[in-house]
Amino acid sequence: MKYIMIHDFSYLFHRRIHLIMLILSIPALLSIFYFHADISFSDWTYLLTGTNLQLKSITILDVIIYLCYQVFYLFLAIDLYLKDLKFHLDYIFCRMSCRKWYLCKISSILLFGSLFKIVEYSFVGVLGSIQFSQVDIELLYSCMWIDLLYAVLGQLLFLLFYLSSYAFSKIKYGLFILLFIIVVIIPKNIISMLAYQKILPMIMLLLFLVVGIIFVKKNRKLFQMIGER
Amino acid sequence: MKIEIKDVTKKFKKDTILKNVNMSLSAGNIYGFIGRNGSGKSVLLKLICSFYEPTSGKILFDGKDIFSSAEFPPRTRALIEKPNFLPDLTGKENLMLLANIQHLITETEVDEILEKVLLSDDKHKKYHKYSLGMKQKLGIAQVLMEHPEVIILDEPFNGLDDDSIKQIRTLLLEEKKKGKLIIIATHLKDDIQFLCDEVYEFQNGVVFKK
Repeated sequence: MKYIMIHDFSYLFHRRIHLIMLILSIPALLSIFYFHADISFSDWTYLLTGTNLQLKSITILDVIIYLCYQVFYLFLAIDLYLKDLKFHLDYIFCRMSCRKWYLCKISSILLFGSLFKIVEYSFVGVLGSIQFSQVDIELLYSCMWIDLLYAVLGQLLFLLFYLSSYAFSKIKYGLFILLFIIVVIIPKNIISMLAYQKILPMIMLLLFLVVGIIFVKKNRKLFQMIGER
Repeated sequence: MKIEIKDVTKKFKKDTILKNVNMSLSAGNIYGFIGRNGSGKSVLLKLICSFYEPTSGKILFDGKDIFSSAEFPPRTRALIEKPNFLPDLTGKENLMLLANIQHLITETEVDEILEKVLLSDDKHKKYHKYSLGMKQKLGIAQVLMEHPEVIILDEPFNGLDDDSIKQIRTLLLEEKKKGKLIIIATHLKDDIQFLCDEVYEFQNGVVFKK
């Protein structure tokens, strides 16, 4: 576990620091943009975190913010997952079973994802305390919690389809169509997912198990196909 | 330890990389794989490590088919990719981090292997300050440090100076005397002639015993 965590931290710090800084600077940039806007703290929080995409009153900026965050967390998961399969096969898999690596890797992705969310919402809290007389900590916390669940759900779904497209290459196009359908039907308004917060962890656990089974059963095919890329 | 490679063929899409390869490798010997770049040496090493699965054929470790389970061969260490360590840690810290995955060796043994590969003076230097040869030696150290039964090295002498080459050769011969099974892939015939008990030449996917 320690090896994977330290390795991932070093990789993010050395190779992805600019991207991380960019994503974490979004709340600060947006707070300048909305500085004189006459809105409540809750609306302001939703705007800065891209969590309240309302189809009736949607703006291009809302969509961009939503996509920036979601794409970043999907990229984070795939990037951390693939780097070991591409560059560290001999160091890691001569010493560690596939099951252990998978458990460590998912823990690492969760840890860094949570860490970035905490930093992002801390920024929002600090910036909110400058603009508003009162900051609703409870609202920030619930928003962060559901945002994190949503990001992890997206990461696991993306990993499932990404790995499946390599592991079951014959049904690749069927998988892409299924992914497209899921992307279309999944709610884009993250706050609305609060109603499902009790079942989301169960869905995530199921996805975690399915991705794990695919990885363990098809590990050699994945090593080869990802290594060839 | 005995590795048997039986009628192994490996194809990547339509390209046949290895054709019906047969070998029997046993402990206490050093085996050399020679051939041009892209001749299939590294692919066979990855098959032996069971990172890749053959298109047809079998690889047996002490009679057991390594592809019958999801796990990788036990007591095997390899340097197949380029040495890849954490840049902000020292050479010793990098080895300790790897050693702590399985806890098979102590810090003293890590120090010993660093001394054997002539890196004891530089063990507290950050990895990003290492030269190409030092990185290569650290890569070899991570292979040897946990006393594996099977040692797999792809182009181990890349970037090494003459003294280091001599030292690594001596080290590998010592490991051979201890009964280890060692496989070295290289495109340099000199490395092979000095060290190896048996040499296999790779040409267009076909492997000849020399």
